[in-house]
Amino acid sequence: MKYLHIFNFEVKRSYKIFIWWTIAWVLMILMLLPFYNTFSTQGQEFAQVYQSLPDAFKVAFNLNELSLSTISGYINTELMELLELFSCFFGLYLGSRSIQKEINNKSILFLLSKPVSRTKIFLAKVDSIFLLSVASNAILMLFLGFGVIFFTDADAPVKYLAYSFVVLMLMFTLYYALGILLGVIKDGGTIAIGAIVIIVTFMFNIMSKISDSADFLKYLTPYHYLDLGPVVSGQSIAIENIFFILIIALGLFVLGFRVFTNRDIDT
Amino acid sequence: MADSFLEVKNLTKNYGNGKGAIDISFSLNSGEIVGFVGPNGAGKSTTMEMIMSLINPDRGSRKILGEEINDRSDIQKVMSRVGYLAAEGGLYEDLTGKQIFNYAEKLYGIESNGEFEKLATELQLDINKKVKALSLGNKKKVGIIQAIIHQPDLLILDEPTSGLDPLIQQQILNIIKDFSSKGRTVFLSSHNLAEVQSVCDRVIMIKDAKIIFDDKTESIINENGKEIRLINPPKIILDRIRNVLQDESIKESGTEIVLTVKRLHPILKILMEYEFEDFYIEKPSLEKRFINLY
Repeated sequence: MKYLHIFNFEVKRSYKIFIWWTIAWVLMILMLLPFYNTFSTQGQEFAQVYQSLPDAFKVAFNLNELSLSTISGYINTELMELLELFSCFFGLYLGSRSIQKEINNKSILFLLSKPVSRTKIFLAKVDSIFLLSVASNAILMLFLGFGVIFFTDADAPVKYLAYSFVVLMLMFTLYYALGILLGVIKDGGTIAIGAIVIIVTFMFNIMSKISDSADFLKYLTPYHYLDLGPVVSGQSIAIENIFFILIIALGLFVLGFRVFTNRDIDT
Repeated sequence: MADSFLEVKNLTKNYGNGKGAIDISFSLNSGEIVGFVGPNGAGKSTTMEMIMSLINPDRGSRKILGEEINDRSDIQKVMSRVGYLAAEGGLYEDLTGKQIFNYAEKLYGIESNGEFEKLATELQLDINKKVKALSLGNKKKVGIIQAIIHQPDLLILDEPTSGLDPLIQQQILNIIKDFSSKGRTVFLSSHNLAEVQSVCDRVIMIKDAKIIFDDKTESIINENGKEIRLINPPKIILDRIRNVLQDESIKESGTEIVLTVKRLHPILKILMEYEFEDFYIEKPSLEKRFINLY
C-alpha cells in the first residue's frame, strides 16, 4: 500500500514532463507524415541520389532505396533514429533526476523518515517512470500508426512500429538505469557523464559500420543490438539481442539499487 | 512498552580528524526531553543520522522502542512510532504544506483527523502555500508538524529552532513541551543553550565526536550554586565577604563583583547588615556552565 502511495506520488510528479515529451513528438510526426507521399513517388530518384553517396555513409545511416520510398524506411530515417537518440537522453535525464536530485536537495529525508523501506522507494520511483514511458511510447506508436493511415497512402507498418516500441523502451530503460546508477554514485555531473556514454556508443555504431577495422566496436554499442534497419527491410531484431540489452539494463538497475540501499545519506 | 525509548551503545562513525561520532552511549527514558548540545561539527547530526539509520555506523548498537536495530530493514519496524526532523531539507519544495501532511499521513498509514490543520492554525502557518514560498521559520513548522503528525512515541529533532526568530522559536518549543507532556520522549539537538535549559530535562554534550557530559539540567544548573552580583560594593563589605567565601568564588567584572555561592543566606546577611541594596541574584545558566567547553 505504501509502495502504491509513493508510486502515485511519483507518477503525479513526472506525468507533465511525459505529456510535453509526447506532444513534442506528436507534432514532429504531424510535420513529417504529410510529406511521405511526395517522397514515395520519387523513390527511383532518391535511389539514384543515394547511389552517389559514399558506401560507408549509406551503411552508417541506414540509407538505401527503402529509406524514403517505403513508409517504414521513411519513418526510420526521418523520425525514429532521432527519437531513439533523444529517448536515450530523456531516460538518462529522468534517471539521474529521480534519486540524485532528491538526495542533493535532501527531500529524500522525508521518505527515509517514514515507515517505508529504501527498496519500496526505489521500486516505486523506477516503476512510475517505466509506466509513464510505456504509456508515452505506446501513444506515439499508435499515433504514428493512425497518422500513416490518415496522412499517407500507405498501410500502417505494424511490425515496424511494434519493433520500434520495443527498441524505444529498451533504449529509454537502459539509459534510465544508467542515470539512476550514476545518480546514486555521484552527487553531480551525472548527465554530463551519461551524455558522453550516449554519444560515444552512438559514434561506435557509426564507426563500426564505416570502417572494417572498427567493426569490433559494434559489440560495445546498444544501437547495434537494437538496429531497426533490418526491420525496415522486412527482417527482425534477434530476440537474443533484446534479452542482452534487457539484461544489461537490469544489471544497471540492480547495481543502482544496491548502491542506493547501502549508501549513507547525511544532512 | 520498554522503559528505555532509545538506547545507544558505543555507536561510532569515524570520519577521521576528530570528525564523526565515537563511542556514543546513552539511553532515553519515557517522557524525557533530552538536549543534545555541542559545537558545530561535534557529531550531533552524525549521531542522530546513525540512530535513524540514514548512515551506517562503523560499530556499536542501537535499540529504538525496544527493537534492536542491526541494519536498515530493522528500523522500518519502529518508524511508525518515531518522528524525525532533519537539520535541513526533508521537505518537497514544490508541494504545499497540506500536500506534504497528506502524503505523510498516507505513508504512516493513518487516517486524516484534521490534527495538522489544528496545529497549523496554532502556529499561524498557511498550509496552502508551496514550501518554496515559505520563510525558514514556516518551513521548520511544516517539518515539525510532519514529524509529529502520527503522534510518535519518540521524536528526534535535529536543530529544530536554528535560524529562527525568538517568537517562532518559542512556538516550536511550546509544541515540543506539549508533545512531551503526553509521556512521549524528545531528543533534540541545539546550539542554543538557553533554549535547551528552558525545555530539556537532561543535557548530553558532545565535543570532538565524543560525549563529555550527560546529566539532568537542574543538577548542572545547581552544581555551581547561584551568582550574586554586587554593584560597586564598599571595601568593608568585600572584606567581610572574603572572610566567608574563598577567593575563587569572588570575581570582578567591570564595576560588578560576582560571587558564586552554594548558600545565599550568609552573604545576604552581610549585605542586609550594611543595608547594601545594589545587588541582584542570578541563577547560573547552561550557557555559563558550558561556554568554556565550546
